[in-house]
This record gives sequence, structure tokens and C-alpha cells, in this order.
Amino acid sequence: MGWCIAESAADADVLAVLGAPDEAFASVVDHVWAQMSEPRVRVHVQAGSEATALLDEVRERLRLGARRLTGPDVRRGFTPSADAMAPEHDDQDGAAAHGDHHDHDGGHDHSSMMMPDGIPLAEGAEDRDGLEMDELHLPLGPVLAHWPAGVVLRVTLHGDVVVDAEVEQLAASGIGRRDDPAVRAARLLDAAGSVLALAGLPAEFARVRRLRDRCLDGELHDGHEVAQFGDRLGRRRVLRWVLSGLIAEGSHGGSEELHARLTALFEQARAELDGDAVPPVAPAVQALPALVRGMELAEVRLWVAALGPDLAPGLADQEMPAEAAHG
Amino acid sequence: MADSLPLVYVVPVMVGLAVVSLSVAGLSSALEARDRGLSVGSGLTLPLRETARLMRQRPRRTVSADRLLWRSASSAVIPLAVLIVAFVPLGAHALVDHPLGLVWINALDVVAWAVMWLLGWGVNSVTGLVGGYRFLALALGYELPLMFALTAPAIAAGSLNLAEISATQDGLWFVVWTPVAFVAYCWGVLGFSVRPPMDPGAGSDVNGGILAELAAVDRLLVLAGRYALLVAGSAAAVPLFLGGGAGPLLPGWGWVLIKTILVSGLLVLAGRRLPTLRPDKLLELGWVVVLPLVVAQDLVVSVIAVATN
Amino acid sequence: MNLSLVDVGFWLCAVVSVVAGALVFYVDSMARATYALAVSFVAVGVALLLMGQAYMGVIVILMMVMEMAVMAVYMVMFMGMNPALMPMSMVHSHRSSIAAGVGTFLLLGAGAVLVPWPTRRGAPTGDVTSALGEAIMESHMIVMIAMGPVMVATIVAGVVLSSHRTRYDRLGDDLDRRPADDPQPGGVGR
Repeated sequence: MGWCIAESAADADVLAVLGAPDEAFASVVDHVWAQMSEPRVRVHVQAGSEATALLDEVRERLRLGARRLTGPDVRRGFTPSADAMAPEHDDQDGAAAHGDHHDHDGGHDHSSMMMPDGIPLAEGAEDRDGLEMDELHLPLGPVLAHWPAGVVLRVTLHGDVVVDAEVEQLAASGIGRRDDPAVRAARLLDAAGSVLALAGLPAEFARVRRLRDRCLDGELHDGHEVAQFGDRLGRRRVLRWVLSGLIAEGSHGGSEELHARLTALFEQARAELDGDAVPPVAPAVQALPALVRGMELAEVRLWVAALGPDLAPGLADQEMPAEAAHG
Repeated sequence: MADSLPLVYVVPVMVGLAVVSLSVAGLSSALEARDRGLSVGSGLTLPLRETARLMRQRPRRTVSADRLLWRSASSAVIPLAVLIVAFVPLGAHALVDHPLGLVWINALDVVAWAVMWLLGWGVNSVTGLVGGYRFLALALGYELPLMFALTAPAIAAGSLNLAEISATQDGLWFVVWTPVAFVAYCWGVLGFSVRPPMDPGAGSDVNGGILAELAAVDRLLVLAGRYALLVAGSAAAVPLFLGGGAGPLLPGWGWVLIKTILVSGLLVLAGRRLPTLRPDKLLELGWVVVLPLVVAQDLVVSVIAVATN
Repeated sequence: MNLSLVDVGFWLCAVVSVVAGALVFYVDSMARATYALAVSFVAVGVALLLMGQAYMGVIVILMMVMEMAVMAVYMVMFMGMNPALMPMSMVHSHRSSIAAGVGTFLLLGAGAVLVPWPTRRGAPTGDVTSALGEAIMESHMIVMIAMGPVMVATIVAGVVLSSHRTRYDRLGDDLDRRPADDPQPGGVGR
């Protein structure tokens, strides 16, 4: 049933890398690869034109069982699947890259007694209610479903509440980059779709995705359909209730509600398609840590998705790094 | 327990549970296929292909996971659903026709608390942990309304035996005059089966939460178990609110089956329509709005029960 | 002496509950200790079922499993999250607690063995669940009426004592701030 986005490395069969990642990004991709279960296929798409053919081959390899294709691979783009495959191996590195639980670079002097499996114990600190809580360090991104490509947000958590955050942007040059109104509108629709997917509305995500595909194919001649979709969504009362109270201080120069941001994304996409003047957005990456402090994890995910176009303005397409095949 | 079905009926009941769970999963992915503009047929068969995919995937470990507890949790979901179904009368009798069937259903849905939390805890990953705790926070919100909702049919029928409860609804199903309890019950079913919209513990917004690190057979057991729990909860709603096996032409078990499919199908549709309800929203709603409504419903039922006796 | 299936089941449950109970102090993780305790209680519940006390048995299982889950919530509230994944000892005051445990066990065991229990007069009613309900709602009603408010008062008092925010922090000095100023707003918008 087509391709669909895997929510985590554990569920993914295919690791598709689009464009040319820099060194830092490439090492993250390796970590993700190490976390995936066999059978798995890794493919590097360097030009948009070859994507379809490569994905077809991916499908074929998965059908055959990737384990059989372990020899040196002559075809460009594929990585052999059998590096480091001890039976049921522990993903030491992988889990660390995923940030499972502890910060490796804490810089503290732990005795080996306090480091089960080489991981230092979490440090405690007072949470917002004045109770001592463990601090957990979790990098979000750059390879994450419904997340703007290249953005890494290293959050410090008390439970699921973010107490501190650092942001970093990895250079990932997109492929087939165009910059015209249709692409800009598609980027806005991508962000809106991500918010809807994260909010638990897969049906609406699928519809926005189709709208966005048609937009890129040049089938949308004006913003009418986009506006209509946004209007209908804006009238969904339960969605409004669920998103209410999710306020970001400092988003677009003031305090903004997530529901308003979602509606604004559709409005901006419409404006792009109708050729109305759209105010340029300044990259907002540096403001992100202050924005997410005090939010809970889910809220952070929703906001980063909604601000995607401002965070990764250089990228034409939202990358889909890890995908699961459903044949 | 003299009225329990003979033990050989375990086989058809389990096959039935598996088939209905697969169909409901098929409905869910068919809806997904439709929304993505793909053929609905490919969606209907997706659960089978997904099963094959996960069966041949290599098991996966995480660093310092409590493997014993994690594996126990992922293996416990399906047995939990089977146990619930065992107490549901299929027509006149259940596999286990216990005088306290209703209390058993309640006790088993509480076991889901222990299982789902453990699923998030055992894996030793931040997302799993957050997912597990989000599930528990949500459970605090839906469980009390669910318990009081279960009280309504018990008061109305004057019995805790599910077969007796369904027999009492001769002519007038409890859903007609205990609608609030029915809705609160369905809400709870979605909650303990971690299905949308009551799935913040496994939501995309926490990278899959308790599901995030699951792969291969472990993942299959949990995904299938969630559907099985949904179906088992829906099956329990039939004797409680929908007249049990009552209906024309078909035998009792046939009607139980049809009603179960309808309820679970409706719950899947509702899940697709509604956004994920996060615990911070839902907890207050559960305690401040739904709980008083359900208690008021119980009061109405009690007054009617006393008056008609 | 002829052993029936129920007898075998009962002794099996008794052994499981004691062993699982002992495991609580043997295992080195908080989660394992919690689940060992839950298994122990479930075994006690099943033993009650085998004694013909269906309602008591199911309720013990229901309440204790739920209690363990709530204990997990408290684990994060008061202990953070991580320590339970660290191997850690589940005992403190090692010697005195062993002494207290053995002493209590001997005392209760001696009571159970040495007290001249009366032989049963009459037979239990067919429906022990109804009998239990009638006992609670009739002859022991006054106890229940007293107990309910005491328990609620305890809970309320506990929350009041532990909360550092009052309604004046939430609603302002004149109690007229709407919606309230909460660190985490709820879903109803109070």
C-alpha cells in the first residue's frame, strides 16, 4: 500500500537519504541505520530523477529479503545490509545516538559503579513543582518523522517537560531544489500536514499530503482548494480544543496559539498560490530553545512542525529519511 | 460456573477474536488507503502483509532494557484480550460463566494499566518512558468514569453476572436508557486498548511512545493485541448495553458477533475522526465533567430500579 | 487425607505469593519489586477465589494491580525516573527489618497455628457476594458511613498539606482570575 513514514527506527525497513548530507548528518544516518532491524535497505537518492527507479528496486530487495543481498553492492546508491550483524546485537551506539536516557558528554566524573553499560546516571534537578527530578537528555531530530530536516534540538527533560534546549542546524543540501510559489506553498502544506499527523489525524495528514503533491505537480492553479481545506479544518471544534492552550511566547513576534498558526499555514499557502504578497519569514532557529522551554515533549513536536518553514527555509522538500515499506 | 461452555469452545472463540481483530485492523487500514487515494482493497489486506513483515524481522534490543519485564508486557496484551472475551456470554453462555463476570471485566481492564506502563518502562528509552507515563495519566482520567459506567447495567439488572445482565434487557436494551454510561464505557475501551483518540501513550507526538522501540514479533504482539483489546472491550459492551445475543433469525452467538463488529468498527471510525486526546486535556474532562455525568446516570438507573421493583 | 484440586491450587498460590513476596526484597530494580509484589497479591486473590470468596478475590486482584500502577506514578513523582533502571538494593535498615519481618511472621504464624479456632457452625449462604453486600449495607453500615468521610478527609488533607499552591495563587487575590493561572492548564478551562 504505497510507502509510509516510519515513526521510529525500530519500525523502519528502508533508510532513504535524499541529497548530500555533510559529515555530521552522515554519522547520524549511520546511527539510525544501526538501530534498524533486518531485513533493511539503505538507499541514497542523489538526483530526483532516479528516485522512482531506486524505490522500485528497494521494494524488490525487501521482497527478496535484504539478507540475501549481502555481498559487495555494485549498484550505486545502495549500502550492503550486513555490516555488523551479530545475531540480536545490542545497539550500543545506536541507542546513544537516539539519546536513550543519558547524556554521553556530561563532562562529569562518574565512577564506573555509576555507569551501567557505560552510561552515566542521570543528574537530578528541581522540576517546576520544586521536586527533585532526573534530568534526561534527548536529541530530537535530525532524523525524525514530521520534523524539519536538518534541525537538531537537544532537550533536557524533567519527565516530559523541557527545562532546557540547545539547537543546531545540520547542513543537508536538498535535491532538485526549486524556489517558486508552488514549492513554497508545498512547504507550508508539509508543515500543516506534520502538525495534523502529530495531533493524531492521519486522515487529514493524508489529504494534505495529496493536496501538496498536486501542488508540486502544478495541478493547483489557485489557492481555492487550499483555502477551502483550511477553512473546513478551522471549524473542527475538537481539534481546536485539543490544540487550545498550546501557546508559544515569541513565535512570529508575539504569543501565538498553535491553532492560529495551523490556520495561518493554510492561509499563507493560499496566498503563495494566488500570487498575493507574502511577507518573507526570517529564519527562527536561534529563537527555538527559548520558545520550547517549559513545554512538554508533545507540545515541542507540534510547535517545531508548525514552525518548520521558518526553521529550515533552505530546504525545498521536507525530507523523509526513514521509511517503512508496506509493499 | 455450571453454565460455562465446554472447554472445546475455546478454539472457535479464539479464532473468532483473531478474525474480528484482523477485520477491524483491515477496516482501519482501508480507511487510511482511501484517504491516501490508494485502492481500498490493498488496505484491507494490509494487516496480513504487515504480520508477515513483522514475523520475518529480526528481534531488536535496546541498551540496558529490562528484557524480562519488557517481553512479559508485550506478550501479555493478547492473553488479556482473550481473558476478557472468555467472560462474555456468546448467546446464553460464556466460556467462563462467572457470577461476577462484570467485576472480572473491570479487573482485567485494570491489568492493562500494569501492562502498558511496563511496555514503556522496560525498554529503557525516553520515548517509551514518556509514553508509559502518558498512558497512566490518561488511565487516571478514564478509569473512574469506566468503573461507574460498568455499575449502571449491574444496578439495572440487579446482577453482576453478564449472562443475567444480558437476559434482563428483554425488549429494552440498556443503551437506550443508560446512554451516558455506554459512551463512558466505550471511551474506557478506547483507553485501555490504547487506540485513537485515546492513544497519547503511543502517539506520533511522542515518536510512538510505548511502541517506539518495538520491532519484529514484539511489535506484532502489541499491535495485534491493541486491536484484540478493542474487540474484546466491544464484545463486553454487547451483554452490558446491547441486549447480548437478542435478535431475530440468527442464533445468539451470531448476534453477539455482529454487534461486536459494529461497536468495534464504530470505535475505529471515531478514532480516525478525532485528534489524539492528550492527558493534560482529558484528565480534567474525565474528573470534572464525565465522572459527575456518569454518577448522575447511575443515580437515575438506581431510582428507576428501585421504583420498578 | 485426600487432596482435591482446589487444595493443590490453594497451596500453589500460597507458595507463589510467599516466594513473589520474598522476591520483592531480593530483586535489584524498583519495577521488578513492584511487579513481584503485584504477582504476590494476585496469588493471594486467586487463593481467596479458591476459598469460595469470589468477590473478595476479584477485588483484591483489581485493587492491587491498580495500586501497583499508581505506585509507578509515585515512583516518578518522588524518585525521578532513572534510579529504577539502575541496579539498586530494595532494602534498607537491613538487620532490624529482617528481625521485624521474622518476628512478625512468627507471631502471626503462631497465632494461626496455636489459637483454638472454633469449628464452623452452620453453612455459608449460597451467594456470599450478596451476603457481603448486605453485611456492609446493613449491620456494618455505620462503620462504612464513618469510614468514607474519614478516607476522603485524609486524601484532601494530604493534598492540601503537600501542595504549595493555594487557590489565591491560581485565581488571584480576589479569586476572580479566569482562567486560572496554572503551570499546566487543564482541559475544561476552569
